[in-house]
Amino acid sequence: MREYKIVILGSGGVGKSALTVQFVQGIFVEKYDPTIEDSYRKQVEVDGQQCMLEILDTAGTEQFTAMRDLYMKNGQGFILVYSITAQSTFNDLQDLREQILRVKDTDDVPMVLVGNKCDLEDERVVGKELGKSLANQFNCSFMETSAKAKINVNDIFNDLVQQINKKSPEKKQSKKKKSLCILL
Amino acid sequence: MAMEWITAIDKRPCDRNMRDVELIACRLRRVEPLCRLTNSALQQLAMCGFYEDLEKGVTCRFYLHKHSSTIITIDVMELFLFFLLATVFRAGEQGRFWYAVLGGQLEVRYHATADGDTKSICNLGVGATFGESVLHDLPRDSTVVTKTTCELLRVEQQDFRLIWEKNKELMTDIITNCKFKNGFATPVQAVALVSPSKKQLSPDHPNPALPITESPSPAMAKMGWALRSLLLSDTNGCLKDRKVSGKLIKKCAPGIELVDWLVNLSPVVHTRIQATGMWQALLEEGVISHVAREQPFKDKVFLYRFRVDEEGNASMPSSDEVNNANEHIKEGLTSLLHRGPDATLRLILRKPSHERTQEELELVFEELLHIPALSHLSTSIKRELASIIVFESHAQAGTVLFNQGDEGRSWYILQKGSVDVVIHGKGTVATLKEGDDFGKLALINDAPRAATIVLKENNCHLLRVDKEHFNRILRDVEANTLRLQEHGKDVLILERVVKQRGLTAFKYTVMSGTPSKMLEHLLDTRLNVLQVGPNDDPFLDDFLLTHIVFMPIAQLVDELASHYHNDSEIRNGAESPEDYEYLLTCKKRVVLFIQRWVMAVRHAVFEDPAAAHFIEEIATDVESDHGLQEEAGIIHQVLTQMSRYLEDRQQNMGQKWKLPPNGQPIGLFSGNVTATRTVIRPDDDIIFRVHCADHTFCTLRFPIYTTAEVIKICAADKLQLNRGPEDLALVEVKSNGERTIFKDNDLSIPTALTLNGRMFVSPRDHLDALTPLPEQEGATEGLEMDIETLATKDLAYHMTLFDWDLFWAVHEYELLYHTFGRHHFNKITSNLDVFIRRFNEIQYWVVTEIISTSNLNKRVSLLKNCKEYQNLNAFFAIVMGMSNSAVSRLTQTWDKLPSKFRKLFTEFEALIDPSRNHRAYRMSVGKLQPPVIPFMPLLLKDMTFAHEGNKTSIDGLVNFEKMHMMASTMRAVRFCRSRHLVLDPPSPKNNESQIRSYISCFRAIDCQRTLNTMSKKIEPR
Repeated sequence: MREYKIVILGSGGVGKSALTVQFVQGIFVEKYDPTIEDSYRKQVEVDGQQCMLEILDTAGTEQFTAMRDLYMKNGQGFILVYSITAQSTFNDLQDLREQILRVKDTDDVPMVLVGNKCDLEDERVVGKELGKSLANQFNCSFMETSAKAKINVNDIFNDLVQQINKKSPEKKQSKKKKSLCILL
Repeated sequence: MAMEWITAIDKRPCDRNMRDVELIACRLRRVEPLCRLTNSALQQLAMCGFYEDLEKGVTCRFYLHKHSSTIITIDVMELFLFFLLATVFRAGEQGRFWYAVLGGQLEVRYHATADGDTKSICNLGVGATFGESVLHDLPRDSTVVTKTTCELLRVEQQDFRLIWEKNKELMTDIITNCKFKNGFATPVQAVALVSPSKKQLSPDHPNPALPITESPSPAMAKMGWALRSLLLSDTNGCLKDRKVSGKLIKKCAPGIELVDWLVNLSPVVHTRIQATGMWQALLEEGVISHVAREQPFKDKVFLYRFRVDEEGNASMPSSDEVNNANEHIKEGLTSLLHRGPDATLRLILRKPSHERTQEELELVFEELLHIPALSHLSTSIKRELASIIVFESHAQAGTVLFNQGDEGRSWYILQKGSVDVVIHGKGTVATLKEGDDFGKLALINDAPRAATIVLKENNCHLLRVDKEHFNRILRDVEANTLRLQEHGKDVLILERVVKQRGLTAFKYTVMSGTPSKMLEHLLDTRLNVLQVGPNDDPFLDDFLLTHIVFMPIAQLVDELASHYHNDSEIRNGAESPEDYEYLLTCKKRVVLFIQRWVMAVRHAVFEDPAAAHFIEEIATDVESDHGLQEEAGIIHQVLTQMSRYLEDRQQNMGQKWKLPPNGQPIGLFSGNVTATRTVIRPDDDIIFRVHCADHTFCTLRFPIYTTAEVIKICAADKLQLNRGPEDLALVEVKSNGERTIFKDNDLSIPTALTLNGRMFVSPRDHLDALTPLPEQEGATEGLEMDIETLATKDLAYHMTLFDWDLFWAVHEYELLYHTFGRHHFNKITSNLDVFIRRFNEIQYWVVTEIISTSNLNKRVSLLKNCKEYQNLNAFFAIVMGMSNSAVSRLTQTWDKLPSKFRKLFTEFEALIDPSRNHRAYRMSVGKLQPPVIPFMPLLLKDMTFAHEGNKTSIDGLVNFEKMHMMASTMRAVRFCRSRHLVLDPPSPKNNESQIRSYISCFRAIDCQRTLNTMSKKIEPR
């Protein structure tokens, strides 16, 4: 099974951890223990393929830029999250994206822009259009979500896996051949 | 039905299926003491056991047979014909089998002399086992002969040995018990014929021959009177004076005739079973009784008489009375008929388990189906319960069923009536009604009773499951969740713990509860006064580490005080010795609680004025109480600790800290570098700058606990921003231009800034105008020093010492404040903030130094030393600094590095690989012994996700599972420093002070943009 490392980024308080927990835990489990190995892993089916997703979430470690960098370095796909109720969280993303491109050393990184907390329509300060246009500028997909109301949560991850698959299709059996060659 | 199991056991073992085994096991289970064996042991017995049905006087040596059971049974019969007086086995011959008596009686004979004289030693009844010598291949030491028709279970030697090996303890217990019961314990005392009548397994064995009420209810008394009148007036009546063993008994009748009479009396009575039930209904209220009070009502030849005839002078009924009686019977007989089945059931429920027949068990089982308290249990468990559940009745309201603090021996289901649940100091907390159950808690936790149960009505009926059965049947199969209610609401929910070897003495752990009920449960069960040695249950520790989330110290202290002063209500009245003992125990527990509290969170207890005051108060009381001498010692120790803390506090009072203007670390204003680092306290002052948009600034001095709002207003005033406080915001501007707004109620602001961040105050609508100060993009001020002149070992040594002090100052509570938001607690997190800053400082120092020079190998070896000192925090900071994009892109530098160093670095990098939730790190830190400085970011992430992923309260109860998770992380911190850091200095004191001041204040650029630019300069692509 192919493994995907997905990085969730965004300022503190945008609801990153809620998205992660919602995605990994689903609705059935009452208890979430963050210290076990599978706390951030989930198996999903995308386009008929089983995939293992591991979420690298910086929630709780925002004060450590090094953790962010580490996760960026290890990640294959990125979810940039802002809260539609806080303009500053939207503004911060420009810098984050630059940082990702720098770490990845490429302009083409699988990425989804996410406007979270879309259940709080009354408190909205970042318009949907604004989000769409930033996504255009980033050349990535865009979604508004709510971890609380469980809107679009799984869709973000599906979309990202599809992007990663498109960018780097799974190489089949190349490894095996290689090892054979070495043996010979 | 009854014969089914015999069909099953008559099959060859290899032909028996699961159903057969279950049927057999079911039968065995009804035999005390076999029922005490585990299910698996019983099943094994059922799998390999054989059935022997022996006539009286048998007679054989069938241990010689090795064939299947059916053949043996036939052989037995044949042999029986030949040897009328053989023995089941004979002394001196090697035993091949082990037997358990399922029915009937056998006699044990002992060969006293060689010439064949035997002495009868004792009788074996149901449940007895014999033939254990198979285990040791010893000759039998006695001979066994059947006295009546007997049913035996026979198990072959090798099978039995296997089962024995697996269940040694239980089996030994059963067998020695049995030997003792049979008078076998010392074979020499062979004369002791009667088994000692000790050992009541349950608190009281109900006797179905006795009434369940003190006096008959009026309705039953009247019914009895009517029946007696009719019986006496009937010329063919069976109530006669009869002679029994030479003694005259007046007006009695055999059960069989009474049944005859009743069936003929009225067409409403259809069957003998109905009539039997009706008579039993009268018997259980004491209207009639067995003449010797030894039998319940049976459709047999036992004699019964009316209660009024026991004295023998009751008169014969007049004809008027007979007419009246006739009238009454017409009305009353139907209601008596309806009482019959219940009475029969109660009769069965009062019989010992092995006397219950298959049909009776079926009746009980059907009844159990209607009991709500059992509704969650499976059918097979109800079938098991049917054989051991016991009926118990109490006539008097006010009877105490058990007392708080008693050992728990049974679980009860209330069938009729109601009971009060009374807790010392709280009074009646609940009234239980028909269908409710109680008494589970003490059984599963092996804890004392948490409440007293008092009957509220006369004639309460209870169903009872005794501890041994409860443990066997229910403890292992129960849904594992236990709810305690008070006043109709859940107050405590417990769940079973999967028992790990040697861990957790408690089988149930708290899942959720109200704060005060959890405290009560904790005091009652987790602070065992008698228990010495460490308590391995984390509940107490979890509670102490996290109670501030759900129960502020002030409330905790109040509750403790009321537990301690439980006696105020009784003081005035007479105090019984038990009460005194109980109250003393309460006090002892509170003292123990205080001791554990101080052990767990140390000075955080003393820092709270309410807690400190409470401890002093308790101390005074304890010292004046003669019953609490041991506790006086404990509390004295606590007081000593407290005064030591206060002294220390006095000494460091009014510490002044400063947030230097150029991004240097926060330090004491007095600048005493050599002094060991002290803890930052909320009322210490800190000096810092606040800027405004045009980069002018003012310098302020405030206590650390000052809120953002106060700072904001004061700074705005000094900087002459003429705006109202609601229009203003206190903002941090980071070196990369990012802005973070502080909430008005936030506190310990100055220590929360990032490495090269600055505090700004600005009108809310002009936040966009805030830009970093020019110097923010440069390096923080630090000592200029050529690090190539320093030995890496020295550097690592001093860094570790320095970091250790910072780590030491961080209290576990600060992790909670940090995770939940310090403003919720109104507490500072400055010591944690400083430690976090240190991580970033080291990381950026590494980057800064590398791109300022390019000496990579030095840092690789520095890295190695940090790891050796288990300073993982700094280790990761350095590794992460080296993998910073500004450094990792320096391919030329890396290429020049000796391959040895590169390899080493790859190894180190593997440790910080975040895959599988930082598996590599978690694995390696798990192997380390303290002292360790842990990788703080991951601990904070664990705290955050434990918080975000779990609700703090569920249905109004504190979600204690979450508290447990958070406490586990806090314990990890505690474990890391459970031993003091003692390091040998690496080399003779080489410019020690210089290194010390160097590492205490690194030069670092934390603006990634600047770093990247510099990096490009030294190695253009």
